[in-house]
This record gives sequence, structure tokens and C-alpha cells, in this order.
Amino acid sequence: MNFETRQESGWTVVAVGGRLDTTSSAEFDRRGQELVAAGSTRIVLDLSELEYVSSAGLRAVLTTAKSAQAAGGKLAIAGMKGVTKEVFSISGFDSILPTYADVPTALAS
Amino acid sequence: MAPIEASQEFHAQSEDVPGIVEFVAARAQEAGVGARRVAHLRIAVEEIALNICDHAYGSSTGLLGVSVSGDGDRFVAELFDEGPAFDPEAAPAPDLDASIERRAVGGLGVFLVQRLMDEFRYRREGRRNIVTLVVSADGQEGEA
Repeated sequence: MNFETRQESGWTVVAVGGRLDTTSSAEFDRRGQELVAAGSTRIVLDLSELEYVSSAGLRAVLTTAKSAQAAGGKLAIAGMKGVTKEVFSISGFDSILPTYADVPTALAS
Repeated sequence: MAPIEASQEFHAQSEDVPGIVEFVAARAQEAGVGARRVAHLRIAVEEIALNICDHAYGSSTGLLGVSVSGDGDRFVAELFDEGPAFDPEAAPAPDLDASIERRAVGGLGVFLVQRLMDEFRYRREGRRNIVTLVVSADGQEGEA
């Protein structure tokens, strides 16, 4: 899993690539919590380079989203495609988290 | 591509799960299964293998066997353990309508398996729990 952060228009954009599975979800969880603890509570997850996500990965995304919300921020999802998009749709996570076609659209929202 | 038939024994411990997923995914690729269905298989195998690690042997560990067969049109993966009878499909379904604050994630993995696989079966055979996962070619390659 790749996890790259950058600041843009008052948001923290996190580009997550590779696989968000049982192996990588712990690292995602840790780095997500670190971001929120450091005050980056407005987060856009750019999942355009994510190959797929398993239920462990969904749980990690949800944990980070809840932490961001609890700190007064929010977490949005951008750029999903392929199997990542399928899994978010099947699980209903695309209806409990705000989702956008791409990062610019999310930043403009 | 030529039909594949292979099996390997692992331990029911979370450290073995990535290897189990890689084993099945590599054989599926060799058999000619398309990238999208291989990704579906990776997810399903991870969910079922983790379930076995959590439930089959209590706080101990034991055999987690994997056998695969098939070709690019129909590929079958079976995961088995020798713990007490345990039907993964008996897990409660997740509440997909719950809000983010109230959302429980129990049963989500099995729910994904049910939706991603063409067939998902459990059977008890002798002292083994056997979970069968099947993917078929679906003509959707390229859309993923």
C-alpha cells in the first residue's frame, strides 16, 4: 500500500494506492489516526490508484472517518474505480461517506 | 490456458493469510482468470481465511488447507480446517442502512464474499469444515 499526503485548498489529500487489505489496514489505521491527531481533520482519500479494498480496509477507512468527524472534520472519498468502487457500493460505504468522481470535484464541494 | 490443480497446507494464523491469498491468486492467474475476478478472489480468500483463523481453533492454531482447480472460465478454491463445525454464512448480515456513528461491521466480510463470488458454499465433511469459492469468467474485463 502507498500512502502519500499533500495539502490542497485547506484539505489533506491522501493518495492511497495498491491494496488496502488485512496486511496494510493496520498501517492505514495508524497513519490516519496520526493525521487526525496532528489536526488534519478535513481529509480527501484519493483512491484512484487503489487496486481493491477488503473488509479490513473498509473498517480502517471507517475508523479514520469517525475520528475525523469526532474532531469536527470530515473524510471524503474521491476517484474510486474498478473493484474498489464495487466493494464500496456492495458494502454501502459509498452512501455513508461522501464520494466524488475525482479530487478536484471533492475539493470544490 | 491449461487447467490448474494445486493444493497447499498453511497454519490457521493471521501471519499466513497473505501467503494463502497469494497462493490462490497466483494459481488463478496461471489458469487464465481475468484481473477483476482475481481481485474478487483475493478479497474472498482473505475474508474466509481470517474467519478460519478467528474461529477454527480458539486461541490455538491448526491446519488451514487450500486447494484450487479450474481454468479461466470457472475457477474453484476450497479452504478447509479441522475445527468444530462452523458455517461462516451463519454470521449476522451487516446493517447497510446504519449511519456512520452507529454502524457495526460484523458480518461484513462474509457479506462481501456472498456478493463477489459466483458460488459460495459451506459443508462439513468428516472432521473438516470446507468452504468453496467459485468465480466464472463474466465478460466484464476491461470495465474494472
